[in-house]
Amino acid sequence: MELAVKNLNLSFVQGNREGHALRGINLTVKEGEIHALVGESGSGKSVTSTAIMGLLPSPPAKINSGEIILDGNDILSLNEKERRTIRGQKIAMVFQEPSKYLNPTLKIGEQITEVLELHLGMDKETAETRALEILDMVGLGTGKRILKSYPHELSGGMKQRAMIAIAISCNPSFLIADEPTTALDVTLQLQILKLILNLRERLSMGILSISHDLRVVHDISDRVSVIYAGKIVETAPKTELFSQPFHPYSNLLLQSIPDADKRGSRLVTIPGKVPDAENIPSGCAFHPRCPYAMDVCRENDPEMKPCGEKHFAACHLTDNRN
Amino acid sequence: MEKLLELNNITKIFSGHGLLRSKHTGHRAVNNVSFYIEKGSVFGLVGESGCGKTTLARSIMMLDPPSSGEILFEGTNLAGLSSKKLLPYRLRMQIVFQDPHSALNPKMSIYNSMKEGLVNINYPVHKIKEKIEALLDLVGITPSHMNRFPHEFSGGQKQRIVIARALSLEPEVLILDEPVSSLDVSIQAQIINLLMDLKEQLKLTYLFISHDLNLVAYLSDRIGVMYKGRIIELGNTESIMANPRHPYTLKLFSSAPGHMKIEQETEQENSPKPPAGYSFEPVAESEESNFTLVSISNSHMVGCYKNIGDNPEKRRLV
Repeated sequence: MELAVKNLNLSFVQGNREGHALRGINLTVKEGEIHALVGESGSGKSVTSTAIMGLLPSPPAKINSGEIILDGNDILSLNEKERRTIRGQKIAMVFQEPSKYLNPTLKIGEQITEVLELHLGMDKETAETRALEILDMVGLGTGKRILKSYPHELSGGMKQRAMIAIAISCNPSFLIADEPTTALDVTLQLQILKLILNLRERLSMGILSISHDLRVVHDISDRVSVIYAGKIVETAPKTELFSQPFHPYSNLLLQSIPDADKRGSRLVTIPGKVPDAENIPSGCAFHPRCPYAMDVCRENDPEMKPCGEKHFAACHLTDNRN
Repeated sequence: MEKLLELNNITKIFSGHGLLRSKHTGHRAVNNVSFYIEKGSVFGLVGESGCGKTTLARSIMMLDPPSSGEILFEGTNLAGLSSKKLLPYRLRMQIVFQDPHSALNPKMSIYNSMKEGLVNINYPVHKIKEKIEALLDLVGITPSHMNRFPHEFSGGQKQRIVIARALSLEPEVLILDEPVSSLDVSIQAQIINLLMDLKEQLKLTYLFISHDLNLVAYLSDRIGVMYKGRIIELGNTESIMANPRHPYTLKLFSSAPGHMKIEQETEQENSPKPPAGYSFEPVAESEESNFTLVSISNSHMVGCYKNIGDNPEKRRLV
């Protein structure tokens, strides 16, 4: 089983203004694989994930072209009712701020059983037994205490566990984790990352993990894709991306991370800032900030080309190399 | 090196509100914190949210005066000064907050925002514009943009402007409270480099507060690890990085992203031992007040509880 995004073009239209949020995203997540999507804010990573879930309001969002293929079917062609059976049951999502996405007026138990009753048609009692099992799985204990708690009674880490519990309640084949640890302290972050790894083993889910932090990505992913200005610029197995990044953007991002080993030396910086979706530079979107920019970069947008085994980059430098 | 800023037993208690509020039941946000910062150095304060880092910063600035303890600035205790006498010291210390979006008034142009401080110290009016231009230039903002409003700038640019404004009063100490955590990765490095350049150029002293151990270890000369209102480990960066002694410091180290070891669960083996006669957790409730920082080398201290033992005679003596 595979979740594949193919050449997805998406823009936000408001009046006569149009922002190109996604410019031809290609991405696959295999069963049991953790694929990380890394990028800075405004690069389109959250738009990609909400587009897969079908949660973007349209208008302003407009899908110009592309497919999202799950199990051989293009889910973009489905109607809202069919879409709803996929959402939660086949693909589930965990968000960055659990306190924003949990319903503050419902007990955690009700929020889990609701999903089970709706999607799997369980009756109330079976749903409750199942909810207890799931809470145990995410490390919230076996007692009924959590089931009967309201979100405000839980700490930040527990809320995130509760949200993961809701997400995995229907045994989804794919989980999208959109910055699940960004709002948490480092010690809690580690616990949640370990939980995600553990659940991947137990449920053999494919996980699309979205993050701005390359260090978090380093800890959990199998494959990494780097996104810049709505386009994936590099995709590679984790170890290869971290040891031999090809695209200048990935390379500079890796080098700009402060670390105790770099004490006394200046950090490498990327001049300028991320372009906004309305004013994407011509040619390669990264060329105004790229130290290796050539004439061709200003004119032609490079395509993804192989530059190693299972390693692809969208950069004109790949041509020189071959 | 000379001690520019020294804290002695700073405690900050937030007492509750209402009829029944009491000083004794209040929340001890900062508990008996002592350390010093040498002139021209960077002191890194690291800890998780809620450990009291920001409260401590606000106490040092006398924005939230400490409940007890001394803040010595070149030997003068700020905590005992009247607000009038405090003013000249306040000018010598400035603070940069985490979120540049809320630190700038959206209704004021950059020029007006930056002018305020200078006007307050009766800076010669005809020189203000020149001064602001020089400051913006120093932090890498085009001076001709000074009549623009905050929304016209990106997050990184706003943080540069906030830093320029903090520098306008020519402080000697800059307190940086998570100055880069709201910024994008590629912008973070730009701001950190800027801060390190400014430190050299203007001979500044920094108190750098962050939850990010990698970052603090990168730029600090000395580090204090804060946990539940207390400094639990204090010392030279090299010494702490090479030989973390407190279990909490070790936990922070091993949880730092990029360092995760999933398969290895060898924490027990490496678990640090407290100095003889001390323990990391209070053994008895009565030991709660015996928290001290114990030197383990001349540049490294670790916080632990002095054991009184179960001998009742001994206990009476203490």
